[in-house]
Amino acid sequence: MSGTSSLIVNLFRILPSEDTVRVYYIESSDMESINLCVHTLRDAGCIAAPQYSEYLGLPPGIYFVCENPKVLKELNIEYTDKRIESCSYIMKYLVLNAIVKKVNELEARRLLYLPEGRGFAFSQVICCDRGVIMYSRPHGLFVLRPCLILRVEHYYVEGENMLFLLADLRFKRFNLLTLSKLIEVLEKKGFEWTEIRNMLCGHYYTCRIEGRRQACMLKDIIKEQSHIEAIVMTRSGQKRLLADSIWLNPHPKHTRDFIRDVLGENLDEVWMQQRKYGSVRPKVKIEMVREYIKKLLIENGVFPLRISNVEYSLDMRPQKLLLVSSDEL
Amino acid sequence: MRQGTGHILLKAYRMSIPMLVFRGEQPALSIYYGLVRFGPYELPVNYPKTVVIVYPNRSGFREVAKKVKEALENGYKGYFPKGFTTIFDLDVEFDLVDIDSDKYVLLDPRNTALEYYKKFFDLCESKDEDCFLVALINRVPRGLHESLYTEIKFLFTAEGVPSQVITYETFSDENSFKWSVFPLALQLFVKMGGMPFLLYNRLNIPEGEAALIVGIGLSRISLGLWEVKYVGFALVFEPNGRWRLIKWSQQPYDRENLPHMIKRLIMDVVDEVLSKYAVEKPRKIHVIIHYSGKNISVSEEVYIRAACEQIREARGIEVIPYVVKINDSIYKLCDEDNPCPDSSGLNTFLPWVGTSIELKDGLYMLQTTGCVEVQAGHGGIRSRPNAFGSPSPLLISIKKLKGLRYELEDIELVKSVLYMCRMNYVSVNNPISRLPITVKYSRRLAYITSKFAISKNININAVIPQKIAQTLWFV
Repeated sequence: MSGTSSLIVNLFRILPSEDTVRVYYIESSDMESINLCVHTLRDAGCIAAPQYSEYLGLPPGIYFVCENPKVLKELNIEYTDKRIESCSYIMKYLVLNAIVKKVNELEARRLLYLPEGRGFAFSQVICCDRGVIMYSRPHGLFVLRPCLILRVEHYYVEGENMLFLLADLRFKRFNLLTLSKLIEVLEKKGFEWTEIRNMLCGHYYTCRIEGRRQACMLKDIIKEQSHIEAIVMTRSGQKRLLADSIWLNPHPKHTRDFIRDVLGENLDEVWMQQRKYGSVRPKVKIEMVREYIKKLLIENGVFPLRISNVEYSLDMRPQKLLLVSSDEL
Repeated sequence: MRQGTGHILLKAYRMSIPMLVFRGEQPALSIYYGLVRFGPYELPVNYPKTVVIVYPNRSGFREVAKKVKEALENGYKGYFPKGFTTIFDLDVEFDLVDIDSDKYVLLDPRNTALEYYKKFFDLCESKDEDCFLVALINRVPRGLHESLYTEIKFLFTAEGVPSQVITYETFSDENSFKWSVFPLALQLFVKMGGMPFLLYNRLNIPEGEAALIVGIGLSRISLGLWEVKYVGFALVFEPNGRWRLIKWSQQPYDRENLPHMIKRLIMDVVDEVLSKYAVEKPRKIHVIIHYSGKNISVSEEVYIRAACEQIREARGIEVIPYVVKINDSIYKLCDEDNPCPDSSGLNTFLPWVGTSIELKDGLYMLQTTGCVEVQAGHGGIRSRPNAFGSPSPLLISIKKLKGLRYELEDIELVKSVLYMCRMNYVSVNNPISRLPITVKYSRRLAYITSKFAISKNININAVIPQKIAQTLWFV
């Protein structure tokens, strides 16, 4: 690499309607109080972000916006109004939180699909199309959905603050392999209860315990009058759970054979389709990302995004990184 | 409304893939070419003379075990020419032993692992020399707390027996088999204590000074119902890629304990490397800490500095710590000027491996997957993709500890990550791994560690038998 070269990247510029944005600000430099306050504000429905130390001229503290100012009176917290650059570093968190808020509203309206427990973490959000690309046949035990993984990135180049949407597209396979669904399919196929129990105990599972998923082993299945329960072994000991909270882990070969040979589900079509989508090279991939941003975020009204007095819109051109170098190390 | 220009101007570097060095200090780009043409850099001094392949006595498994033995003994077409003893120049025999089919129960990993153990030692005790285990099993989910993989690893490691687990799923498929035999042989050699290659290119360290690259991993481990612990480990490499040691530490699960643990680990590994391996006392040591996971907190920074200060006081050597955080990203990059065709001749436009882009002060993108130069079997160089689909670069964050005067440039620290990606013992054809060896084994080590932490609630460093402590038993 010598002189200047360029790379196309899956970054899309977020353009503000105004140079400055009006936000609320609480001064603090103590990490624990900042975190506590951010959680309180978020619980009250505000969009809030922490800044732990001074960065590019912005002092530490909590920056937030609230649609309903009454909430702030109820919280009884002292804050001030502040005008900051609409693309300053802290705005990357406020814009992302505003996206998360809209995406959650769209899920509630059944316009988007959010993967369970994996929607928002580590400064990124995953949202999927409600539409399914493909169902496995004949029981529809697996579905393939396009999902966008979104982050907001801040760049400060040549004295200018800039915000970008960093977006990746993955075709995710979701399974409906709950223990109750498996029992339903096996019963329809005419298997006896003892056979079903023996067959299902030979696999690995994922259990949802107190809202968290963890690997588990199935020890026994108990058929009650109105429902089915199971005894499972988890890393924290033996538990009794509802059959709806237990998912078959379809990855081991003997389990895939069981799904294919005993349940009679054709897995290959969905697997091959997922692999085909996963194999696309960056040029096509970035174009696909652009298409799905248009479909999931623009057509559903996530963008333009209003925060306080500013409307943020999306430049749909993938950015070019102009790389300056003269050294080959 | 502002208008975007559609581009961002950033500073970039193109780092060359470092060459490797093999027997007789011969350099080569490819592991395959280097080993076949020149042989391994350094042979182990004491090594197991028999490799015992243990498998369940079931149809399918039996055939796979025989095929693996045959391939290790005599080679397998052009994929593994000549066989283990010729390529690695070691006098090793290969044996097969089966366990009863009805005693192979995946959902009873403990007893099944004990069966592998019993059969292995029944055979091995009749030999005068140490043995090496190759266990053929079904693939099991990695995240499982109790699995046949972790049980076997635990049992044999605790006995000081090096082991390699191979899966029926990989080796029963002809296409996977042909690409997996040479890497399997390479891993056996490494676990026997051999050094197949080192880095030919080195980091730019001033004369009279030394550098160590330390991979730090931390895991939160549940021990039964109530007890939770932090288990940390540090892997130490010299800048030429030579692995020196691994140290462990465990503490009750409390965030307050983390800084102490990190300090202890750094002090122990640097001190041990200095006392055991330093021929000449360096004037200064640059300790480059590779770290993946949560952010280093302010208190941990203080303890890292304190560790370095203590070493300076005890040994009279200035120690400068550099913290290099390594994370995955979701960036996708397309280089329209680099066609980089794949094996079907289709242009991929992947960026060059070794491309590093400075996103902001101390934050870099590093392409460890993409378009890479490889050396064909006859020695010629060509470029090709080393990844499927659209790979993402790593994000490398250089953490500057307050009050320290840094002497190595940021890009030298980014280069340390690229160089450690080159220390790859799982493929002979892919010249570079996506993750550096310093952080690559964090998760796998955590699973095995949890077994030690549960069953032997003592200093883990003392549990690993001396016989294998000096080998890369965990790769």
